[in-house]
Amino acid sequence: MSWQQDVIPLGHASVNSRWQALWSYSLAVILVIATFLLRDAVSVSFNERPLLILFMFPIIVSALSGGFGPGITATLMAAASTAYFLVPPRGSFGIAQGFDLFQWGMLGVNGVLVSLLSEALHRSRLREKAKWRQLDATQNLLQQSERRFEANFELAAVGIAMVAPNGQWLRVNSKLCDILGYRHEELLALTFQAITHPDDLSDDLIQVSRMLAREIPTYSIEKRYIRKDGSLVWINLTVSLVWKPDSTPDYFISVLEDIEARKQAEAALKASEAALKSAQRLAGLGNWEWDLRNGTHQWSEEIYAIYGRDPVLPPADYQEVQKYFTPESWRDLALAVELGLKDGRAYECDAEVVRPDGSRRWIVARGDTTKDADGQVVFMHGTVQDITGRKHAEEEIRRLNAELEKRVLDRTAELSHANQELDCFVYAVSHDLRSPLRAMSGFSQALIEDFSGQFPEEAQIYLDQIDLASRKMSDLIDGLLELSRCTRGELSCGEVDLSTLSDRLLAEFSRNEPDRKVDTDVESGLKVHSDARMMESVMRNLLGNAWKYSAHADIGRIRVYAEHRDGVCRICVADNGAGFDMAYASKLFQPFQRLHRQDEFPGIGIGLATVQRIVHRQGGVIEAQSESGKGAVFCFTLSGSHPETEKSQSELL
Amino acid sequence: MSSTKTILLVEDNTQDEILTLRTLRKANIANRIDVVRDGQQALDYLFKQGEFVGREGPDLPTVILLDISLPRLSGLEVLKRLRANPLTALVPVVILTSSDEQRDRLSSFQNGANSFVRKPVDFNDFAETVARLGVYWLATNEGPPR
Repeated sequence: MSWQQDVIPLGHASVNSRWQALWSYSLAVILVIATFLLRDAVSVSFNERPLLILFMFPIIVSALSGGFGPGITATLMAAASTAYFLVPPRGSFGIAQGFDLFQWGMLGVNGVLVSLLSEALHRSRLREKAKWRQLDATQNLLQQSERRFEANFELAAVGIAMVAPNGQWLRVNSKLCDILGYRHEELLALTFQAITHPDDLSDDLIQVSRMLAREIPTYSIEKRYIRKDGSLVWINLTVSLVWKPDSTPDYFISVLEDIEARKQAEAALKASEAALKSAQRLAGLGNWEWDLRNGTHQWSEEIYAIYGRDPVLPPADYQEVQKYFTPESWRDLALAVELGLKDGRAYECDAEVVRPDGSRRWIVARGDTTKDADGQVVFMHGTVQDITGRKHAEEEIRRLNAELEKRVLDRTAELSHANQELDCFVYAVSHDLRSPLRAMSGFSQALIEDFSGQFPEEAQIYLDQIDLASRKMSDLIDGLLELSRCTRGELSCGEVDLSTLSDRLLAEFSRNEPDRKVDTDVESGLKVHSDARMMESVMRNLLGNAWKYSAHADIGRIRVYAEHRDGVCRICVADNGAGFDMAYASKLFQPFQRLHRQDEFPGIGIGLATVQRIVHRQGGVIEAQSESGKGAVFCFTLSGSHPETEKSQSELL
Repeated sequence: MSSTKTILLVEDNTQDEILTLRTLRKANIANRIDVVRDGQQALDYLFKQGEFVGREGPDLPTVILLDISLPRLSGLEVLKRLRANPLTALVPVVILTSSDEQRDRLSSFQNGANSFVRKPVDFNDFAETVARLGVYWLATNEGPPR
């Protein structure tokens, strides 16, 4: 502080003191003159005696008011003027009489003494004044400092406290109250031990005792306090101890900084580092950096693990690292890296690693570069990922695929063999089963023709039955063949006009049974994309059924129409015939299942099975709706796709 | 009908043979009808070889009624051989079979059959068909010049 050197000098050259000096000197001159005039006025009464004693008055006053200078000035003026004017011989500075000389001399000596004394007094007074001023200033500064401390203490961004040696909070600032969540007076009723996290207390107390033992002047620790609401807060605590003059501890000054945010950030960072490490370990992924300017390499832990390199070693440099690869893999990888070094191209390259212990791993190495302002590659960084599992899986998939392909080929061969056998069988059925039938009907016919007169009537009936049975058998064979054919052979798809087809078929039925009265209503323009031969089979069966089962109606009605449901087009054939009981609907499409007796409606039960196979083969569905005696509706769809599945082959017969 | 016109029936099924012959007879076809019972016999007959060396009758029949499924050599094989040989390349061949397989029909015509007739299962139909065949090939059709 500057005030300590602020001693006020005696010849203080301030404007004020200069005026004061001028005034003191003027006063001296004026008083001497005034005294001279006064002596003149009163001298008559005193026999014209010099009355030198009078002149002590201006001298004393001047000296007292102005100190040595004005005092001596008044003295000299008085001495000079009296010697010249008043002390005989007048008009000269000489002094004739001894008594006068003594008196004049006393005046001079007294004047000097008074001036000196006054000066001393003056100086002492000035010193006193300066001292007082100093004291004032000190007091001011003290007050200021006090206020400043108060402000600092209260408004500090950190918690500050004075704590008694026993741990009692003596004085706390509001920030500390904020941090700990207590009100001021609540906190003062507590000790720091009471609100310190139990795990952190012993550390704190050890430091306190070391400080009390004067081993350390201050200490700083990170610890947790328990806030009023029970939550924990991380604090960076700095403590110093104030001693009393008698060398006993007075109080601690504690500074508490809330580092919760920093701790959380640290924890988050630690967690994220741990997560990264764990992720790298789980992913078998390591990362590396290569600073080309100083040739330094950085590897993450996982790279060591992947290469099987001792973690205490430094990262292998570019030359050394090639020992971890098979020659072929290193050739590919080095080529990629060299390209990257040359023009900064990023790379990705699979490579096979050979560890020092001889075990092998597959990795994918990825790298990228950073260029400086001149476009020179100065930095490379990248990852190494263990893809051994994937590679093995890929190999396994390749192997399985090959196996599967072979199996498919085998199965295909088996299937085509089975198909061939089936073909032979069907061929045999179509060819060889017919001849005996024809023979049966032929010879029974020949018997009737050639020997009819010789048979009794009953024999005639038996022969007729043989003929009927052989016809029935023939129909069955035909049905079977049709059923088999509908799932064999290539589909040759094109546009099929179902309206025209239906008209033609109905006309054919009508020609064969001209006596039937049937109203037909065929929607025009019904076209589907399908195989014409198959569609003829479908429509022949559906219309044939409609025709057959409506035979008992007075006027049969057959309708062919398209119906759109759920965005799908369904072709429907409806009749007003005998219909069927829906309870048996599930049997409808099974081969040789019939819902009517032969004497009601003859048939072999193969038509709808054939229709369903054809529809299914073309990815469609067929549904039937009916009620006994109220006709039936058969609707089918044909999806756009025609799966060339041969699976129905095995269900053929 | 002229007796120089003959029919060769290649049929291994005796019942069919009897019924065919009966039908042709009933249709008043009196021409000579020779019957062989397998493919090899048919070739031997046509090329006058084996058991048919020096057989009677014309060198070639007017028409051959050829079944497909035959012992030893199938009807289609016989047909191929006939067509491959200049001597028999032009002789009319009617495939008369129980099969109605498309591929039989196809390969029959591909191999040069003149006609493909499915034996109807119904005897009446069969009789009618065979009778018509006989009349057509012996009387109506003008065969290739010899």
